[in-house]
Amino acid sequence: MLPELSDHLLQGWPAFFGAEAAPARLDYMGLPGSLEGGTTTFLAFAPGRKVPVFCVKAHRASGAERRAFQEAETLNYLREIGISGVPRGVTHGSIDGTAYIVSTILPGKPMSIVVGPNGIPVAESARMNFQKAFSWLERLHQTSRTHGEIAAPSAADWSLLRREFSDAFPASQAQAGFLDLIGEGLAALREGFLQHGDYCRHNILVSDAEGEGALQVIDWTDSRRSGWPLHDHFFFASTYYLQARRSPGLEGFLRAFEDTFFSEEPYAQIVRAAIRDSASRLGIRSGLLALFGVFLVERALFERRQLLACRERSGLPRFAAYIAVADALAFESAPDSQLWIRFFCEAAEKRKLLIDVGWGN
Amino acid sequence: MRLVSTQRASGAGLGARAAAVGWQKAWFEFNVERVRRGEPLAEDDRVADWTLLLSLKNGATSLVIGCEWATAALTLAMRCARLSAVDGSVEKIEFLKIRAAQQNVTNINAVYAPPRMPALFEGGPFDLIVVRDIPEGWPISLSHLIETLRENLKPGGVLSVSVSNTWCPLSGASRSAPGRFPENSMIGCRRQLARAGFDSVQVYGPLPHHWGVSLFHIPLDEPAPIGFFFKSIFPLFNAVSPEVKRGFALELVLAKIAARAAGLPGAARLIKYFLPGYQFIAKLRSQDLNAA
Repeated sequence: MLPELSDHLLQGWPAFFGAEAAPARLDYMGLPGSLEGGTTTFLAFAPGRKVPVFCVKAHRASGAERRAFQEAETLNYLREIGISGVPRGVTHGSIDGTAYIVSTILPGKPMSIVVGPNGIPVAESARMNFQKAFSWLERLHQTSRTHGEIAAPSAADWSLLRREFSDAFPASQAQAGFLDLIGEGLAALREGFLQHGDYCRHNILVSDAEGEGALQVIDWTDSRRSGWPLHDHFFFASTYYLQARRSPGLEGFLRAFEDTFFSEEPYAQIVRAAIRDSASRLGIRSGLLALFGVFLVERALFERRQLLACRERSGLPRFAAYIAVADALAFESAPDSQLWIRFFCEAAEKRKLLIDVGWGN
Repeated sequence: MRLVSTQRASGAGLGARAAAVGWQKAWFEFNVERVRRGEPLAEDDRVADWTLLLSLKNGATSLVIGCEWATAALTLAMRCARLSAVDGSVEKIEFLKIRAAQQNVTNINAVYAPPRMPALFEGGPFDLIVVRDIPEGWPISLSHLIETLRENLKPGGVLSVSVSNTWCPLSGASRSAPGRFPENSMIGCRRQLARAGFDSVQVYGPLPHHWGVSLFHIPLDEPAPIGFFFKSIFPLFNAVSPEVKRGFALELVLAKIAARAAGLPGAARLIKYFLPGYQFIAKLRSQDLNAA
């Protein structure tokens, strides 16, 4: 597939890359994609050049052309409305049944994190990172607003989501109460947000440039033109130090989630305040808890769908298999008892704290 | 519903279980048992990512020696007209056959490896031959392997072979790798492929190792990619989860040393000679000069 893609790009080089001289050939470096994400990435190198020329993302499953097209559309839209710091979509298509998208390479390194001796992110460093990450999202939403209203997900959308969630995950009384509260809080929603879908540290590149050029955001595979507000804010916060946590296993993940949202430590206070303040600047002054709840519902369902697809195609990722061992789960139930549903349950139990700090409806 | 464990981590009984309950469920149980024993997953979809580096024309025929747990063989079969698979493990051949049947892949001929490597494989000559794991009792000498497989390739056909690197400081660990691989240095491999008539040779450094799921495939013909890897990609490993750090503890230590060394002038050009193993993708000359 890649040799055919190379031929296609080299033959049409000026159309794809402008005045830049076409190389004699291209060599590809394969990078790991997550198993559940369903894509694999190759960086293309030209002889004599020290950095890659472009990036190819290929979808493993057949019939993924729509996903590649959707990502290309989002990248085109972002450039049209003047958002800098995102890749340029060069071309997309399908070769031998493999869907792909080719995009430009952006400078910078993934946002780094400083973890203190207690295993929790250092407050001041976290404050700066959250400020940068949320400023970028605010610019994105404010710019996209000036180019046309993004329709808010409707009450019917929430009903469908809730039904799918309840079918997949039987709810306790506390969790059912949380779902009711979410529905009430979403009723006043007036606007949707363009959603990156995987807005985590690894997809945010930081360079030495000043101002708007300091952050570059990559990997728009799971992007949506219209989604629930603040989804990307919550995802950034939830995943901020998941990979850097000290404690292994499921307990480590749950502790990280608790330390991020439900602790009295400075780090959690910074996270809650950063989300509240950014939401306020975006015109959202109530209903944070409801939006947090719908975010967790969406993530739990998204993870379940991904795991069902993995299990069908080639098997569960390692961590899902680990949870299956820890909880003695059988084949049928393993995708239903993973990470994000546990985060949802945690939030349902401890939501009072978030209400007390001003996230309520 | 209690977890049912019917297979040893080696895969005995996996085929029968797959036939009884479906390959996905049997595969789940097999891997969960491995994780329970502290072993990594047997393989996943990523084991076939490297096949995107290949060009396969319509009607291509392929031979896979060492089909692992079927993922890469099935991926290739979906892009070929016909695929022959040979493995020294009865369990792996059985599992491949059952997966192929249940996934409606009908163009695979999978056979248990005979005691001796045949001079000519049934179904050949082939457009592509992939060597991942050499059956017990077959010669492991790279030169013998290349000479034999050349006779089973069409002119212009492609050979992909995974090789353990005799120059690697981890070469002792490589010998405990699952599977049998020919051993040679990068220079030695290139020389032997050239002698055998392969005039277009690409070499990749699969990391952290050249068996199972390789997380990175670094092209080594130019110095820039491996330099870029150690400068820009490897530092990201400071941010991996504690589970990954534990699973690849030794490899991470050695890679950190290599990353520091790569910062020295000219070092990036040398590091490629000491990687744990390689994957060569080599194209046989279109005209067989030996026949002239």
